[in-house]
Amino acid sequence: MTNWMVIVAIAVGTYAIRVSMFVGLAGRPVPAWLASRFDVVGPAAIGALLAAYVLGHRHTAPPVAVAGAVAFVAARRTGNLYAALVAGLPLVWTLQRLGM
Amino acid sequence: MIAVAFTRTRSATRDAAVAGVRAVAPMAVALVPFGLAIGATIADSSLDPWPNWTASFLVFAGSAQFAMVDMVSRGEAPVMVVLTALLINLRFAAYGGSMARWFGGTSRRCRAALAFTLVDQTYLATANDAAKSVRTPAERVAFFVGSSTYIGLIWIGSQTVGLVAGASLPSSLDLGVAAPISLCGLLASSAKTTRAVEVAVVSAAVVLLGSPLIGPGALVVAIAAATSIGSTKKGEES
Repeated sequence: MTNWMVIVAIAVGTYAIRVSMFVGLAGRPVPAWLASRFDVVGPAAIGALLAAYVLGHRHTAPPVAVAGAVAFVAARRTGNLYAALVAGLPLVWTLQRLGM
Repeated sequence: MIAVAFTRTRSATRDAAVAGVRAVAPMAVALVPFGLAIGATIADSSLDPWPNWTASFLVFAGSAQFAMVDMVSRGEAPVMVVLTALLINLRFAAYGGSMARWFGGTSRRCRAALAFTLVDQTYLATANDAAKSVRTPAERVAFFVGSSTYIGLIWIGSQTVGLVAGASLPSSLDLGVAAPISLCGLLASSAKTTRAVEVAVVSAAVVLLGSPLIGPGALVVAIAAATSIGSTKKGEES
């Protein structure tokens, strides 16, 4: 029973978080200072998620850092996210095999 | 003439949905081992499997669900479990705020429905798309629904397989690394200004330094702190 209550509380709370600004700001003018922060939520999220990954996977961090840099260059050159995976994934696996 | 216009609109909407699937698919690769691992963890724990499986779609957020399963199975206080999961998910509020302007002309009811599947992958795919393509409101919605459907199927499917079969992928093929690799690829298209690069670096630094102190709150604190860099100040007109 407690387990269900925890799940429902998290589900309801998470939905409220998701809806809050997405629906709350519908049809409303957003002040310039807030809009300029929203402009860079994407890069902020990517940086934060990457760091969280590194903290959770310290042992795989070196090969991932090398392949991540290659993936970055591949995506920037081609403008294609698939190129990042095609360039980066085999490289990580190879580096891991080599014991990096 | 009307029929032609109608057909064109329909196919443009379908194209947008397909674009949504294609945009999110590289990020979905990393969800397979994650979903399998959560499913297998639930199966291996003393927890009631099916309620915890429903969290795959009721909560629809991997890191929070993983923290929940872990904490509940270790017997942590329910209030702490809920607070931890919500802190991890608090970043979705920033995603919602950032997405709001790309969905102009979309009703509140429609937004409320779309919000169910607002996660890292669907937000980042939409942000990437909004930066480079002009779309009608219907096409934006179709793009988001396409991304969400694909992510949802992969996510719920992999958790189900993990729960039923206790399966995990062979360790020789670490698909989990697709998560940081695709994030690095996304960064290439997302961080095209000096300010955006600075924001990404500062955000990463806040998580690295702040996690030992504030734990699950680090993600949202990092996003809140980093986005203030170079932003228009409060009360200042741009």
